[in-house]
Amino acid sequence: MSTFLQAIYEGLINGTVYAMIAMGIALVWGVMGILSFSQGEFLMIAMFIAYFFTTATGFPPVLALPLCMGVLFVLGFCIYKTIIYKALQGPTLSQRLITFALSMVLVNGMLMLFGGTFRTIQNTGMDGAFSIGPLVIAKNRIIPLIIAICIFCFMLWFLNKTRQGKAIRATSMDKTAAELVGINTEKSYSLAFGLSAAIAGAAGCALSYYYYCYPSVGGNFQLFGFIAVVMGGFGSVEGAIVGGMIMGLVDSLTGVYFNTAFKYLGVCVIFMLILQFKPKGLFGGK
Amino acid sequence: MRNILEITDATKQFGGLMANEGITFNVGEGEIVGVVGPNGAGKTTLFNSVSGAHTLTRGSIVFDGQDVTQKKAHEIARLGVGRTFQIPQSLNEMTVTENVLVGALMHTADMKKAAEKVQETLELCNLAHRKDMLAGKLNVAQKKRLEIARAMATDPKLLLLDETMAGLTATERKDAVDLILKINRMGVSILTIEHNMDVVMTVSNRVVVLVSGKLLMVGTPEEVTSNPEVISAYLGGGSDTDE
Amino acid sequence: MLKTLFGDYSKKQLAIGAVLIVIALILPQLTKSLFMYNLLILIVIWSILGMGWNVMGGFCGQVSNGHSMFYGFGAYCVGLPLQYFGLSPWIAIPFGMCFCACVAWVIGKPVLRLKGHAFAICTMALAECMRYICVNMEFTNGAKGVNMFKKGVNPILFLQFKDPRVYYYLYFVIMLIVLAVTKILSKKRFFYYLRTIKGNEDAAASVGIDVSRYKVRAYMLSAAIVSLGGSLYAQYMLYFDPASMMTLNVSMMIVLVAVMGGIGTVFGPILGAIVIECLSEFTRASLGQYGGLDMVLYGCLVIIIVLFLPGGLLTLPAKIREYMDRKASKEGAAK
Repeated sequence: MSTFLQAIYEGLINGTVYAMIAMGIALVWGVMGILSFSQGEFLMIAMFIAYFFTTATGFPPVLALPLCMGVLFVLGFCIYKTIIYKALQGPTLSQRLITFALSMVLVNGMLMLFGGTFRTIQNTGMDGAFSIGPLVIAKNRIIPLIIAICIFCFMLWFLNKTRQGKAIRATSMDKTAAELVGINTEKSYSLAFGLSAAIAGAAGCALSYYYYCYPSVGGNFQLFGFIAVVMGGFGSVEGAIVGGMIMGLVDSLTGVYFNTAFKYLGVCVIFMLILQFKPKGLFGGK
Repeated sequence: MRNILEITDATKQFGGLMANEGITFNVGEGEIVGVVGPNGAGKTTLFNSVSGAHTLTRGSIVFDGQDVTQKKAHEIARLGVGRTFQIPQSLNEMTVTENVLVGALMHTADMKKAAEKVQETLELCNLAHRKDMLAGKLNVAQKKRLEIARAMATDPKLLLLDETMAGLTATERKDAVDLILKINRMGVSILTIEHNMDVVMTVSNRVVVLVSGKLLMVGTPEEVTSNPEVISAYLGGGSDTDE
Repeated sequence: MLKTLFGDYSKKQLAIGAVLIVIALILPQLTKSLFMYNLLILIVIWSILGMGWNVMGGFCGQVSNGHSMFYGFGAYCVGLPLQYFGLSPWIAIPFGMCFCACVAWVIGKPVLRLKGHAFAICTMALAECMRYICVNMEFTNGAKGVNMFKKGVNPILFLQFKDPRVYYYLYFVIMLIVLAVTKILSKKRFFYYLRTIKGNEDAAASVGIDVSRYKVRAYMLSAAIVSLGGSLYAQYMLYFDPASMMTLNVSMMIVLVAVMGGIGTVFGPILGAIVIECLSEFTRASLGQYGGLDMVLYGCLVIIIVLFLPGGLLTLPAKIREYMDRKASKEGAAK
């Protein structure tokens, strides 16, 4: 029983990272219809920023959060303006391939600059663990959890309550109609792309607490992010959060009860089952 | 007269919305039946049920003596129901010839035979001079004729026409009417959705009036136009008689 | 048959084709560098992969991002029978193609219900899943991979040659066969139906096309051709491991080959394979020592090409002509 509870807990924690990645993917998918392969790489860059920040200053990584998000937002914004903007005029498949080539450039660029060694942040200021009942809670997972919850709240608030957030939502529903009522869809696009990179930045900052950082780390989270988005309902940000949580649970439960090698199999089976019964995803079909 | 299509108690529900409810009527062999009704009356839903794009919630559809209620769209097409779409679904990256060819290939895999059929159909629909053009480059009237040509290439017994006249100029409309009558003389029964009352009255043998998903009446054009209920529900009710 | 193969082309085009084939045949005789042999063989193999993907992604419009699964299966289907039963690849390669077609048939029905990005993600997940299984099973030698090299076997019976040029000529012929098959099929009802499905599924159903069945058939054919490519690669390297064959990168490369050349065209994948392989092999050879720089450059070139030629390299002549025309008309206007 306690193993089970522990697995659920760990699953939910991992799930928050998947959920954050998935949110970014869902945002870009929903607003501009691109399946973005560079989301995982944004996460990786943020992990490097957090790592260098901590090793250089000695402050805990959480203080690098604004830096991570800011840098990534600007990076995403620039990438949108230079590449994606032009790619949007081409076919969907080209857009996908371009983000993939972009991820290749980012991974190998980082590899070239910093080498392929695994780095971990030694001094997060949160070592050890304590227990609540049967649960063993590692201290280095607490701050990531808090970061994730803040990001979820912020995004839901932003998309539902603010003017610009509503504009983004409207653009994702119907671009032409949004333009007709005077929304600057161009601004929505660039903002959405920048935001999705910033969310990945937050995820990277959170992840740097307990995961090693190396240039191809993003790939591990990318695919799970994709699956989470489809599971939750294409392009729905709320669905992506739930999908990410499910991915985390499946990941940790198959790891505990079967074999970590089967985690992809477990994920695939759950994925296929959900799509057989709800072809549009859990929150799809609005 | 034998019935080519018998629709009995056709009911289609989308979630809480009753798109069609208890519609019953027949189409006789060689007949042209017009379906009219205000926007949202469930005309296209009815077409989709007949062509198998979705299955009925209740009721049955018999085509040419066979129950097709549960059959899929491609099976119904193979039995001899051709259809066009309200928004032309032409295959834009293929040429006009190829668009018609995929229809002609339904009954034969032999490219030569199919090519003959294509030529014949293109001439029938007055598209022969555009045969090497990409379908995406055609204008609205040509796209609509292409839709008819593709359906006709499958040698249908019944042709479902969904708003063939919408968006056409008066001359184009006249050409389309001539085409419909010509197709009908070839022995093809036609069920047509039409907004333009003049057209419906000239081409149809009988007219079916739908209002908010229900059948209001079936009758000859004269009976329909003189029925006060129809006039209040449809003819007098809206400005959408002519699009 | 000959008419379907060559009927579309003018005499000039046929002559150019013949010259290109002759060049392709002479090229390996002009050089002694193993690098060039390797490059030529990879081009041929990737052409086959691209053509296989193109059946599904180009003609039928179902963009799979998981074809590395069939690539890997193709390799295993020659490697494992050889390891366990000493089976000749002449039997194993067709077996692998049938096997992959069967796999595609089984997974096709549920997977092909999905559309667009969701379909791509699902195929990606399946490929990743299969990679993990292959890495972790005893039966497949796990991450160690399969070593197919055997000393003293009959070279023809087991397709193990010392001279890489033999592989090249053999594979070149196989590629021409695949090309001819694609060309002939592109004039048949089957491919017209696939293109109709790509264009519009509702319209396809309205002319009596069983959309889901034809999609599964396209998937099967596509899987079989990609499996052939995988078998040929394994047979050439005589060693493979799942970690290098069944990755997302390979899947994306297969897509890239077809898209870069010209998606949904018969010759596009060959052109794409030439460009992609030259790019990746030359950048690797010249910049490989700077850990990653080659891939950065390669990625940038891919972005530029895909960004500016979304229709593929086959549209380049038309683009240039268009540009020249515009320039000419501008100059004319200036005068």
